[in-house]
Formats: sequence, C-alpha cells, structure tokens
Amino acid sequence: MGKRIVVPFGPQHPVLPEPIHLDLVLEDERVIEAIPSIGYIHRGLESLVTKRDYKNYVFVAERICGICSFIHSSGYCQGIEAVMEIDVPLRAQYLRVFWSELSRMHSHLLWLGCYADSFGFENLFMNAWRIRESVLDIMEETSGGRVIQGSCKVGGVRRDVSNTRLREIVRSLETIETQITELTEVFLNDSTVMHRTKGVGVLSESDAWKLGAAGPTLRGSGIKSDIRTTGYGAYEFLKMKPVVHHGGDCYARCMVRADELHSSIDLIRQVSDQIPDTEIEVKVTGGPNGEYFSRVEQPRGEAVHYVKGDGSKNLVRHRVRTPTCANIPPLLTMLAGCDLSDVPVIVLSIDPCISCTER
Amino acid sequence: MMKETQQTRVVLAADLLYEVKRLSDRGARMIQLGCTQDGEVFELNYSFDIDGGFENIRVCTNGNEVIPSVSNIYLCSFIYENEIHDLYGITFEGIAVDYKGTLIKTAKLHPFRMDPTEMKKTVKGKGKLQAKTLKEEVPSESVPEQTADQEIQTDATGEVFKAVESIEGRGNIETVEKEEDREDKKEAE
Amino acid sequence: MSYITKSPWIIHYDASSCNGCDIEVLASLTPLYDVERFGIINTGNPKHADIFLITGSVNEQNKEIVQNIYAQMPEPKVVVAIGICASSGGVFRECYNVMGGVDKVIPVDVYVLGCAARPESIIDGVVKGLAVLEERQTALKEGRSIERKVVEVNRSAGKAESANESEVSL
Repeated sequence: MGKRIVVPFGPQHPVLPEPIHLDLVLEDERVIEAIPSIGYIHRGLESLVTKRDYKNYVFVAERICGICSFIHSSGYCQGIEAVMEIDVPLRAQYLRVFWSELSRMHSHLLWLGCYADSFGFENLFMNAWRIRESVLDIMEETSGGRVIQGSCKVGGVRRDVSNTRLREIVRSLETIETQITELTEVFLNDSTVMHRTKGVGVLSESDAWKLGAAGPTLRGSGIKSDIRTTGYGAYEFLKMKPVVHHGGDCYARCMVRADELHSSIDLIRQVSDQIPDTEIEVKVTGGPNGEYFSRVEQPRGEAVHYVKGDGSKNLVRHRVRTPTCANIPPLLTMLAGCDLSDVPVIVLSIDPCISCTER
Repeated sequence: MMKETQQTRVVLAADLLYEVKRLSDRGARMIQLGCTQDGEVFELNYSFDIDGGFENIRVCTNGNEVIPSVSNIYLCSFIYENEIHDLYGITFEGIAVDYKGTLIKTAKLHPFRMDPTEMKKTVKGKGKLQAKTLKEEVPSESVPEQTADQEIQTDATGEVFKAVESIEGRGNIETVEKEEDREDKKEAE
Repeated sequence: MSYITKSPWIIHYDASSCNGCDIEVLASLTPLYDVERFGIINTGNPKHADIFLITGSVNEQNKEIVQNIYAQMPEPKVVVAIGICASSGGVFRECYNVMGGVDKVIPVDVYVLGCAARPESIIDGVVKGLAVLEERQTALKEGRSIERKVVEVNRSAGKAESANESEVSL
C-alpha cells in the first residue's frame, strides 16, 4: 500500500472560476476520497428578506448567481405568483421562456469553454466564448444587460420584444447553430478530447438517483428527468423532449449539454411562432400569504425556490436549493478512484456554480 | 398559469426515519431539505420527487430537539443537515459525514436563528397560513404549546390523513423498529 | 513607458461574488475584447502576477485567502477591485457575513464599478492600473518607498478600519 498524502485543491485555482476547496486524499497518483469545504461565497442573502419587500427582492434573487441569473429571478417570481394566485399574461410567460433559453445557451457555451480549459485546450475555450458573445448580444439588445438582465418582475416582465425582432433573432440563430455544430464536433469526435473524457468520472444510474443528482449529471447517467416537462410557465404549450444519454461519464454529460443547445434553439423558434399578443405585466397589490415550492430547470439542473409569506410586504422565508448543491455528493462518488490529473475535468463536468450553492 | 399540486404532511421527529424509508422504498428521489423559522417553531421540510410528482414531509421542532439524520437512507442529505446545523443550530444525530459546525464559517454563530420576540408577529390573525393546494393537519404533541401552534389549530382546514391516525394510535412503533432492524440486517449481509 | 507596462500578467480571484463580474473578466480575454493581444495573460500563480483583479464583497471565510494571495504577489503590484460588490458591498452590504468591499481587507488602487462590470470598463480599469504600476516600478528603482493606504483588519470584530495614508517602506 502506498503512502497517503492530502493535496488541497482550491479555493484559488486557475481552472476554477469560483472558490471551492477539496481536500484530496491521494495514494500515489490515485484519489482515494475527496472532502469538500464550502462557504467561501456564503453571503447569507436569504436574510435579506427581512430588509427588502418582496417586489424589490427580485433584484437580490437575480444576483444569487451571475450565470443562471434570469432563471433564478423567474423561479422566484413564479413562486410569489403561485402563492398570490396571480395570472401572468401569456406573452410575458413566453418572453420568460425566451430569455431562459438564451440563458441556458450562454451558460452551456460558457461551460464548454471552461471544460476545454480544464484539460488544457485553450483554443476551444476561446472559440466557445466567441460564439457565446453572439448570444450575449441578443440578450443585451432585448433586455439591456449582458449578464444580469433585470427584466423579470412579479407579475410579468419589464420589457417587450416585438414579433418582427423575434423573427430576425431566430434567423440569426441559424448562423449560431452552424457554428455550435462545428464546435461540438470537436468535443465529441476529437481523439484527444475523447481520451481525456471517455470513461472518466463514471456515475452509475442507481447512484445518480439515490444521491439526488440533478440536471445533465442525472440525464447523462440515463435518467429521464427534466422539470420543464412538468409544464411550468409557457412550457406546457411548447414541445420539448428531455435529452438523455447513457454512459454516466464526462463524455456523456458533454453530449447532453451539446444536444441541449440545439433543443434550446428549437424552443426559441417555437416561442417566436406561437407568441400571442397580450399584455406583458399585471399590477400586483398586497402581500403573499402562504407557501409554495417553485421548481425550475436551470442549465445545471433542478432549482427549488421555497417562498413563504404571511401577508405583509416582507417574506418570512425564501430558500433556494440549487442544482450544484445536489450534485456535490455525486461529485464525491465520482472522484473516488480517479487520477489526480482527472480531478479538474471531473469537477468541471458537473458544472459547479458555487455562488448558487452557498448563496 | 399551471400550478403544481404539492402535498405537505406533518410528521413527528420519531416517525421521520420510517416515513423517509417508506418513500425510499417507493423509489423517491430526495429533492431538498430546508428549514424555516416561524416564531418559535422550526419547520424542517423534506421534499421528494416520486414519478415526477412532488411530496413534502414536514417536521416541526422547537430548535433544541435532536433530530435523527436521514443520511443513512439518502446520503445526499448530509450537506443539507450540516448547513442547517451551521445556520440554525439544530442538532442532527448520526450524520454520515459530519463537519461538526465547520461547513460554513460565518461571522455570526447560527445567523438564521432569530430571537422569536424580534421576529415580526407572523402568524397571529393574518389569515390562513396554507396555500389552497396544501393539505396540512394538526401537528401533535411534539410541537410545544406556543402561539404558533394555536394559530395553526384554529386555521387548519382539509382532511385528516391516515398518518395522523397512525401517529396517535402509536401502532407503528414496532414497525419502526422492524424497519430499522431490517436495515441493519441488510447492512450486515 | 517601462517594460513592466508592456505585458502585465493578471491573477483573478472571486471573493464571494455572484460570478457575474468574473465571467466578464474572462470575457475580456476572449476573442471579442481580446486583452491577450496586449500581452496580458491570466496566470494562476500569484508569484507571477502584476495585477490582482478581485471581484466580490469579501466574506468572513475569504478574508485570509485574499490577504494570502496579496502577500504572495511580488512588488510592484496593483489591485483592481471590479464591480460594485468589491467596491462597497453592493446589494449584499447588509448581510451578516459580508465585509463590505475589498478595501476593507487589502489596499485597492483602482475601482471599476458596474453590476456586472462591462468588459470595456474592466479594460479601462486595468489600463489605469498600468499607470500606477509604472509609478511604483520607478519608485522601486529609485529606492523610494511606495505610498499605500494601510488597512488594519480587526480579526475578532471582522470589520476593518483603514488608517490614514501612510508610507509602507520596503
């Protein structure tokens, strides 16, 4: 038996966009176990419910995470609207889907870039982010912000996008789609990339279910589970099939995200075809009285926003359970038995968004 | 707007392991474990996904009780239980990976645990505390005699679940032990 | 211009930020904004870096990490605080765990505002930092001491009090 040493990974590491600390117990070059240490981004923003009323709190909810920002705000608004039984106009719901899917696209492209960086392929990183810039241009012209949009509010959305503009955007997405296909070709068919990702970080189907994995981590292990199929928001009117791949390794998770990019473009096309001409907001008065678990599908998986109100302007509790929090136990299972050089690849394959986890 | 039907059942801390094991045998996936403080009552919400549907189990505690950990059934709950311990100060017994209070190091100890007198009077006379789709029933003796408890009693609507009958009948204490024995036997094998 | 401003290397750290400003920092490196054409490389090693790009309202656990990275960087060095959270705590100012800005922990030279700060502003901030870097390099060569605000961090209370401008001699 070799000697065991403990190597600290993070919180500051070139491959990690956010601080997380892992104590890797190694025997020679093999990882025996990994002990995570979180808390570097814990701001305790859920305590701000007492200081801001529920309508202004949406700005705090947006800033839980910069990458999945719009979907957090729409999940929160959905929770409040369910408690107060507000009927959000259809056009606003379709626009929320539009921005959510754009969010998903930019998040997956961002992930593809960081993932390539983790195994040293910097050129792919630059190419993925170059394509991402076109998606951010669309976000910026429709909502005003590249990263934090600020377009969702309780009762609807703040800004409208005209139907002609939507059609032009769908046309421009066709160029982006060709570029995405070229990019994902490399991720899925290049021999060096396949060598680094196939068979690495395997998560079996039963482990994924028992350990409560979420999102592409769950769907890459062969389990069909996508919260968009429950039909929240405008998803009940849109046709969508969850993308599932078997294999459970980093390659399978990459395939899931690459296919989800295409599925998002298809959803945006459907939104542009079906969007009705109604109002984009309703007036909201009073305070939320009751509780609800609002479930939305983030790029990283299922997020749950629990809101509880007592009728006054301030909520009693807002709790977010984000997908990365659910994906940390599967990560520890995946890390056991891998090589030290595979650690960054595996950590990035679950798409860690630590600012979401710790709020 | 489509609203998901969400069921919440209130159970005793003593029956928690039995309920969670039953859900696990039915093939449920654990979604989350969260804590809310409502006056002097701390509500622990265990949420599960069964066949795409959403089910929620709630344990009400006074904050000083020791709650059994479900991490032997669902390993993923260790991260939530450690977080609740660090933020609220609620002790869980038997967590599979126990950080002993060092998971999240904050400037203030147990920052989310507020003094009930400082919290706004949330429940008194402000209308029903449930959303229309929730079916809550009267929590039994484990919840201490507090104003929150009284309000829940006066406002409670909806049917009484079979779970309440079994709690009151105390008929399933033996079943609980049997379940645990079976678990131990499985582990021994 | 001295050689040090020709190709400064940056080190980037996310100190309790929502990650928005961090991805804008990384976006500055990518082909649309491309600071790599100026020779700027994002290094992971603090001992190789000249400019410290830091985002986020620092929290209790991150305090020592930030000071550690800052201490490992060799002189002359410049700190650029990116985003409103790094400048004053931003929307999280009132949270219990938040120090309220990077200048409560280490001395900051340039503040770039925004939520999230745009890549154009970040590049502007880095260029302003280059001027400070050059000044410090000249001071080092001439044997003068570098002027920097001294920040005292009271460890037990967790809040920092910054002293008046004083000289830190090397």
